[in-house]
Amino acid sequence: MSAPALIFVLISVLVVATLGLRRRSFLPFALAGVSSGLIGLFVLYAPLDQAISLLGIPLRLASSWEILGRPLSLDPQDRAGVGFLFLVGSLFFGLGWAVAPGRSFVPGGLIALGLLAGALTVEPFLFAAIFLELAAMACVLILIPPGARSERGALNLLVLYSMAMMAILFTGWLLENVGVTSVTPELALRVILLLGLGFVILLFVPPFHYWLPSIAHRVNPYSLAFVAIILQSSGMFFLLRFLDNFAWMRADPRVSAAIQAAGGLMIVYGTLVAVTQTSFPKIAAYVLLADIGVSLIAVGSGLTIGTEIAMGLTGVRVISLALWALGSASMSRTGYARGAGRKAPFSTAGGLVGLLSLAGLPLTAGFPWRWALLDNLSEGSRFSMLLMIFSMLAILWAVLRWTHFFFESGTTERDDVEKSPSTLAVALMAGACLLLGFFPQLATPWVAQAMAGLPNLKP
Amino acid sequence: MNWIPLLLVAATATALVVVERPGIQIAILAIQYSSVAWLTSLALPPQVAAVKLVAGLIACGILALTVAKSRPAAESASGIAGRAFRAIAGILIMAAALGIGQSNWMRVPDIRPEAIMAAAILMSMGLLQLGLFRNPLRVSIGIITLLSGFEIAYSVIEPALAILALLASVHIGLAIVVSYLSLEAEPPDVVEGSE
Repeated sequence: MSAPALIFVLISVLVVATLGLRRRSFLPFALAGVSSGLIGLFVLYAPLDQAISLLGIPLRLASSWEILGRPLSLDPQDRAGVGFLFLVGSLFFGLGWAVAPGRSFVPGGLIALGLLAGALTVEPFLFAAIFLELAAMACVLILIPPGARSERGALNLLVLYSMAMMAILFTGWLLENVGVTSVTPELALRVILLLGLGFVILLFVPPFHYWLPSIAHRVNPYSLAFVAIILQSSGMFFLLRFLDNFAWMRADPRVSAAIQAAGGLMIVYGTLVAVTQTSFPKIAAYVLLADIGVSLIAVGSGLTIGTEIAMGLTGVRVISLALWALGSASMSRTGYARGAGRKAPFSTAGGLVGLLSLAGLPLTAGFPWRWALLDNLSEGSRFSMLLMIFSMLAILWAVLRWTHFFFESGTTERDDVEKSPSTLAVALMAGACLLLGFFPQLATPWVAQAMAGLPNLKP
Repeated sequence: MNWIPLLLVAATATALVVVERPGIQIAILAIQYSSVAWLTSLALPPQVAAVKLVAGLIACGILALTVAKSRPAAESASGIAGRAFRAIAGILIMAAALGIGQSNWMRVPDIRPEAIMAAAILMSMGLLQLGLFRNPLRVSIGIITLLSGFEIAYSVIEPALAILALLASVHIGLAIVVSYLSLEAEPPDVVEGSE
């Protein structure tokens, strides 16, 4: 039996089961949460390609599954990424029932996770672009649940991912068949430009981020956070695999300069627009851009631990964004109006702390990894350091402004806007956020496993 | 003989920009798929190229069912002026595409001139549609047109059946998503000035 085939069958069964249960409020979330978590742990820790005995039955799980002549391989370099995605799914499915993100959230989310797992495991990995496009389609179903209003932003996501797919597929052919190396500068430039187009879309680099804020204030924040996390993380894993696989790309100074420039642009743009935002759901979209920008700075910095820091940031971003999303989704019942914090204090506090963590403020999950980056950036990267510090302070100011707005006195008193499940979910995530802020080493086993799959980027 | 699908591609791509009735758009899209399959068969065995045709016709079928089942959308009153504007835009883009398509602009080896010209036309007209329209059906037709152009060239360099099948699934997936948005979700409250 092969592990990818087993996962495929499991996800198919889960999709059918959760579709059948979609009118229930708790069961599909619990089923998907537990199953997704088990699949994630299986991917991370199951012994593959070796004989094992399960309950006395001899068993051998193959890491590869061939379909239409192309293998889906759960190699060591893919396992951390695929496992990560399913654990993200477990977290979001498990807590999702507290904020009711819509009937299509669980089945659509499982389909998207399955396709993204396919994207990370398909060989040659350049064909991943098609799976990413299909995953983007599944994400549209998550963003627009039945009965919700169809949004242009969701269609924009499809348009952008179609373009990314074409750019990456064509680049893949150039890389595999034309023999691009550092001694073919014209072709190398062409590949960098085409690949750049693909990755700026996958990593939400402005102006290709526009689908995100355009739907941020119209769709359920929880659905949006889930979609943003899984798509962006897959894009990041994909970028790191490219860098790991192609030595000439790692050595080309234009590539690292372009990655750093994109990161700097995202920090400046995300921060400036975030501090001037008048819509609370939209502010997170821009703070997220700034956070992804920091990851790109880490990747492009040339530091030996740059990739490790980027991985760490990707991991803790899940916690920060989940906290914001849980708080924000519960707050949506207040209309994000002045004094909303008095109606829903826990949710509001959760949303605000989630933003602070995304911005990398001290005591939150996002801080240690940023601190590590600031600590390691050299004299030559002083501009990047200043940008990161500016971003943190500016977003802190914006969050304080929103805090004042939400908790302003003389407004409505607390009512039953907050339900106990959502309060509990916010409290859990807030705890996780603080825990990772104080003990960042809790995330390091996963980061170490992810780095083991990227031998050429390993310190 | 190979110029026939090229002419069909040019005619259908322009018609998709101008025509407003969804049913007719889908019929035109089906003709466009047939032409794309014909052009693809210049580089691939016909039975393999037929995968594109079958997938395209399945996508058209899904879209046709969707149009038949969905509530009639508020007519976009573009009138003669709107259609004339789109026709002129289409002609201008077509002229640019004809210019680009005269050389092997994608530098794909061993590609037929008709195929590279068709790729340029479809990709340009697909982008035009994406720029002009906002409703899910027309945006999806824009994406399909864009992808079809790309696939004509890509099938020359990557004839693997797996890729063909995956790309075919993208077309069907797009049709399913649009069907979902049209039937399950409420229509957007956007006034589409360009349509």
